Amino acid sequence: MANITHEDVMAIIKVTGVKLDGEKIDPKESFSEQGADSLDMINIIFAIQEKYGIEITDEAISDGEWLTLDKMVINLNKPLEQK
Amino acid sequence: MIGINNIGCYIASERISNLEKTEKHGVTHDFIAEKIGIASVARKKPAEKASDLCVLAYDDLAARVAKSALDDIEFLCVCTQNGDYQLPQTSAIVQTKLWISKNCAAFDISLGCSGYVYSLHIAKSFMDACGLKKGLLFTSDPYSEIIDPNDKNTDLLFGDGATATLLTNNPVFDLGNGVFETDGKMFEHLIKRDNEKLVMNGRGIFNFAMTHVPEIVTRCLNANALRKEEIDFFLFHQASKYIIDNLRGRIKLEQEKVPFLIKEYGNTVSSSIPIALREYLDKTDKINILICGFGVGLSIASSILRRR
Repeated sequence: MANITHEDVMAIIKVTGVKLDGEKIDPKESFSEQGADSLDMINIIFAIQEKYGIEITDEAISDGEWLTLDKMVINLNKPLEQK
Repeated sequence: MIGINNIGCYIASERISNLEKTEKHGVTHDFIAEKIGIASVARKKPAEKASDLCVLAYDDLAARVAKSALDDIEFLCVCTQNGDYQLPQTSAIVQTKLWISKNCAAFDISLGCSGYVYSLHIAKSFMDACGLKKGLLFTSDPYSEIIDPNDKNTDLLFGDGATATLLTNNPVFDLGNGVFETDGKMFEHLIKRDNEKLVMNGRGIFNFAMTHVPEIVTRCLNANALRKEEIDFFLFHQASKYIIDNLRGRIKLEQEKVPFLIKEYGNTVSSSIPIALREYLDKTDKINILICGFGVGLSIASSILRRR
């Protein structure tokens, strides 16, 4: 499978309808710092799980592994067994 | 055939404002207004039990029907997971409080937010099978007894209410074919363990709803040979505004067909569908209504109500 890009993830977020602050988001900054609340994060992560057919654990989320766009892209490009 | 003749409701009169809890729970006014969608939650009096709420819902029902309409009740069931006691069944307590004849079947059904849809089908099947002509289905699940007021996941959501549905063989709404699903491996996402308060994993509930509700809506339409366009409105369990808004978007339904009605009193568990349904009993232009409850279990149920 081709590498998953920042643009791919942002396209998924756009479909969820979650509104983030500003036109362009900082990939190193957490989504919560850029306008997403706890329900928005649940929605975004659900959409990513659904799109890529993966399961993201509560532990991985609470460990902060999916808090930023950069982290999401890195995690999504890991081999399946490491996600 | 047995169906829904009328519905009485009771929503506890005391309200606790969620907007005054923003600091306590670390949320904003916008979050409560736009995401949770519940400005205040209804709270029963501490001494009131599930059966008391049933009686108050019955009083409301009695005010809506002719006096004789509630004579000769042969069936009584209460859907609750927070009954008056661990045993006996709350339905027996309701039966005696309402002076209903002893010639009456009475039992409880232990289900949460999917409970009304399940209970309608159980009641209809039981009454039809036994040739019973008139019954009462109550929902009463006072979650204020099991909520931790410091838990924002539940404290901002749940309100106390109850309903009484009169089931007869000359109904306003006939019940269509029901469809049901259970995902027991998710049981810990909404649980109250012994001597503890209610715990809810909001993410688990959201994921369950977004995955299962669209699927079961399709199954329900197919089971009743209906198209989406033939449904006048979709009455989903009133969990939160965020869940309703996202379901509406995922299933691609018009906003006016998917009401969100609990802003002033909160999520009343198995009572949320009948409380909302009562608003539409007298609106004769609403012919087909799809109802869908989902929650504790995790469990989901959907059916069609067809105006006779």
